[in-house]
Amino acid sequence: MNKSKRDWEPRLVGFLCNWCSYAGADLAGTSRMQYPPNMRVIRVPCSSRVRPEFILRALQKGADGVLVAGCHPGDCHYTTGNYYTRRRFQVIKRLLTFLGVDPRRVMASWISAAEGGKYQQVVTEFVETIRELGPCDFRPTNGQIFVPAADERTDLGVVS
Amino acid sequence: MTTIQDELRETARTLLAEGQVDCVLGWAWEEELQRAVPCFVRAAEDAKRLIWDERCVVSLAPFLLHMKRQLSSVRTEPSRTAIVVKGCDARGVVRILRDQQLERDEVLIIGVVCQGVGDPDNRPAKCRECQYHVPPVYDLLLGEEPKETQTPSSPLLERVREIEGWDVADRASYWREHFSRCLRCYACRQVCPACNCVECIFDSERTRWTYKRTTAEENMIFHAIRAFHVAGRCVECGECERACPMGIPLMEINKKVASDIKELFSVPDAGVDLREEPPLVRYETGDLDHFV
Amino acid sequence: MKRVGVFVCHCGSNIAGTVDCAAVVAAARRIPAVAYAEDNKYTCSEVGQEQIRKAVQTHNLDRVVVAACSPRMHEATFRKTIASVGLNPYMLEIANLREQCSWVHSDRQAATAKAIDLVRLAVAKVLYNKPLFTSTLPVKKRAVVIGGGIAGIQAALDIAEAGHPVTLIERSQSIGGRMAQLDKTFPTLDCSSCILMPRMVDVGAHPMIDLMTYSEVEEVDGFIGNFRVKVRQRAKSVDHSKCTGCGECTEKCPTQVPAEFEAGLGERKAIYTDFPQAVPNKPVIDRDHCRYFLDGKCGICRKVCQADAIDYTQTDRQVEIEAGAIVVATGFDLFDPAKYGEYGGGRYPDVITGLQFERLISASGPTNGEIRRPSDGRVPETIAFIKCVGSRDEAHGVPYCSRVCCMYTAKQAMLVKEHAKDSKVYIFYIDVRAAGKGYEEFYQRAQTDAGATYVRGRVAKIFPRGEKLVLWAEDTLIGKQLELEVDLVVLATGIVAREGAVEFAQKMGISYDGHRFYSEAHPKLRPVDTNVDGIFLAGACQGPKDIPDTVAQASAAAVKVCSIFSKEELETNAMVATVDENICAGCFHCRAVCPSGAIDSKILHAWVAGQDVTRRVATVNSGVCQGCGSCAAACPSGAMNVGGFSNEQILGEVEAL
Repeated sequence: MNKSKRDWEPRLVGFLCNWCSYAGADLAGTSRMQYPPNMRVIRVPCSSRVRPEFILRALQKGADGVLVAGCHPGDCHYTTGNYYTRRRFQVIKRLLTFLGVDPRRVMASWISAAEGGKYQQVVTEFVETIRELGPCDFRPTNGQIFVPAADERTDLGVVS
Repeated sequence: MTTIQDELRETARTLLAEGQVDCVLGWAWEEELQRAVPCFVRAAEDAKRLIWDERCVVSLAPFLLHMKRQLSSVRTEPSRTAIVVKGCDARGVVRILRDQQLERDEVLIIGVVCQGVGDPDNRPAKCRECQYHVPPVYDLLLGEEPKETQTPSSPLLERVREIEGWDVADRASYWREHFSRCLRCYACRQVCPACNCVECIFDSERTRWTYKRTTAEENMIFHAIRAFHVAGRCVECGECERACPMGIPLMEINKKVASDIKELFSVPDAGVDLREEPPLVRYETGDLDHFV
Repeated sequence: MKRVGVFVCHCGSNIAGTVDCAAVVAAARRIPAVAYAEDNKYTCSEVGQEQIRKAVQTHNLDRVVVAACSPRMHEATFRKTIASVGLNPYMLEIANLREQCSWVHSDRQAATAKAIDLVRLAVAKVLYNKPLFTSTLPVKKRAVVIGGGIAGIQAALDIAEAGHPVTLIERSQSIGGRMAQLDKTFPTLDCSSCILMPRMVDVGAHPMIDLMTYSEVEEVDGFIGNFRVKVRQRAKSVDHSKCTGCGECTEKCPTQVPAEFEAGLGERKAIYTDFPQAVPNKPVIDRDHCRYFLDGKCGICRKVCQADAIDYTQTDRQVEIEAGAIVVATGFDLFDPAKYGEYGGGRYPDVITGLQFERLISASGPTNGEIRRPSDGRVPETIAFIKCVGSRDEAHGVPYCSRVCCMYTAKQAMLVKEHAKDSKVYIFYIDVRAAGKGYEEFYQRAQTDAGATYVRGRVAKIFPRGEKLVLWAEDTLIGKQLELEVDLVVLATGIVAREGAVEFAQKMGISYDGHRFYSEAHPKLRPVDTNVDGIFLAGACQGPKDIPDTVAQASAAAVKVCSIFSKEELETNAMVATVDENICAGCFHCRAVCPSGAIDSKILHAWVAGQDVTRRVATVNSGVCQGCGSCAAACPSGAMNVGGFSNEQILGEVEAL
């Protein structure tokens, strides 16, 4: 485990809204701001386009952390999209935490088209956080189905 | 003394005889199964088959959906169905109406005052913490409204708080164990009044939302997404957990989401008001922002 | 089999300096769906584009990935490129190797690995791209301008001058609005009427302007290019086609009613025009007060009318106007100082508002321009002006600054000198805000030329003492309590949104802020647009504004309208939401989250077991949809989808992670 962890590089996915956060990430580029190369960006028209299904799938398909970024509240290109994002995201994050996903693996941020520096900072810090957390284990392990020991089952009072 | 059951039979008979409704959806006793089952009474003389007592556990609300979707083909005139509801079931009817699956005038809601169903010595969890002995929405009410009501404590919520207090790893293995047993039989979905999609994304042939294999991870996606799809709309009737053949404590998840939503957005319980707006399709500009 | 072409751009050394482009091409070739891959020095150059065109034809490609700079840069360029060789322009994806890879990383190996990943993601997405098509919508070349104040007047004239017909809708009897009530304007002391009236006359006479006064908008539906505006024309009870505007009826009418135009200081008749220079200068009968309508007696106006224009039988009329664009210029209300109990809450007649003061100094006002106290008609010797009444006061009013009060108070102080030159003027203020061309100089003149005494501090209490009013205040600059006896107090009441502003916004589908002012589409870059395409804002309905800013915004709105009208047809956005009607359950969560009102319901018929079964499903108006995808995320079943960012495309990308 320790060995593999040393070779392992965090893999992050960012769902960035086209109008603010993606433009902010572009600005980081035109400003030549350096950040770790662990982020894979999926462009979406608006942060409110992001279905929780996408976040879950991303975690399952190899992402160790997921970022959802949109315009600051009140600045949404479509006026209201990020307000829905904000509600949905809080609910899904708490739900995933409850189901055993470390809350630090899913994050949201408001990054405007002018905030190249903020994007750089968010990505850098996120990579560090995930590096400390280690790989996401929310992934099929060789397609194996987890089967608890028989005594554990009886403890849970499960009829099977 | 007339019982609620007598009142119910008389009400149903009158409604049918006067042509106010085409069907009364209630419970009847099925001797062979030794179970109260849904009963669609269409003739006044059959009203005597209806029962109302502690055996009437199953919520009838989802059957409204099934009727609308499957029986509509044999209907030519717009029809009106009377449905018998306990407090918890009434919230399911509100859900279906609020999700615009039926028009308000297609349903006549006969509410019954309920003090809990099932084995009196071992009531289902939802009955032990019931706040809706009187249905929050009804057209006709049978039974006496209890004089004083006290808000009972919620062992389910306490359980949610307990789980929240565990380490992330413990929660992960707890749910991994539960989800590894899920058969993806979708019984939870079928009995859910909030799961009223025409086609569930997990049945989609067109879009690969998730895989069909039943590993703990895939199953977790299913349960997380299902919980999210009913988030803010779940009426906490507990039917999913009751229907689950594998004994997965689904209401722990639903309660978690419901209590989060109440806390985050200061909304009332889902399914108690016909004018409710699902909290995830509305917003306040002043919603919490600190998580960002 | 889908055939993807991948084109990796070096961008000189911008990309190639950090990313091993040959390695990216080699990796792309290993992806099964990639039928062709190459790298170019500059893909966006004519040579590079020609390479793409050639490759599409030679290798029979049906979709293309360009790995180059940000899609925000050249997506449109490459869409045209592939369209020129017969591909649908939307069969393109861009992998952002420059702004989000080569420019932000220095480790060549890591940057190359990331670039390969980005190409893989783009290929995975493009495999699910579908041809998208724009459609065109005809444009109704008529504008509706709602509100006949200076904003509406300016917008209507500008649009009409550009040659497009305009319907100007005004609620009251005459156009003119707030500006008509003002005496002079800062910072030039132009007479308000003298600059406004010619514009009003122009509106009345303009062949392209259809003026509908005494009318209200009841309903708006449709979308850009094709709005339908339902207007209720209230019964005027006067046939304006016959009326000569001689004024005999008004003269003879026996009923006196408080005049709205005089802000409560004067009276009008039951058959009236708002003010003598009204446009149209033909009266209406106020049926709520007219004796004929109240008890059937009187009828004097009909007797005296030589033109036989009085018509008691008129009824309200509903008119539907088809318009391609709408300008909302519904103006503002003034803050009601009744909420200030400590200033008398409206009980002291000699505590008046700034607007009432305007009427007092107006030559056509109730006192013919003499400053006289409402209580006893005496000329006040001492006048106190109190600023920020309602504004910047969350306890009583609103937190924002109303922007005009500092300047109109300075103006009023100067006018006191003109009208009652021996009167002493005190001005109580929190701050003086005089940002605007010539404003600071004007404020200085109010102190030097007009001799107004500015006292920094809020007035705590006003109460009567004999015939005088006593003010208690603190001069915060010297830290002393003051008591001041004055004859007249003028409250500089702030600007608030119109009563009913929210209901009106909901009729239009436009959004509003926490203070009920209408929201612009973008605070900096789209200040006159609303969130609804084709509906524009002008004037104080969007927020407090002075006359120059209002006029500027009105002209800006007019240009926006004219740019819509410069086209015969509007091209719709191709990347819009679509509904899979077979799956849609009709829960309409999509409609709840749609910011542009693009989702409607429709009845779907299906034959099931020989029966016609109906079901309600969502339908998207592609002319209105902006493609944000909120609906697609709110739809539990995935029936709602978005072209260009479909569920399948995004899942494809996620799958390739």
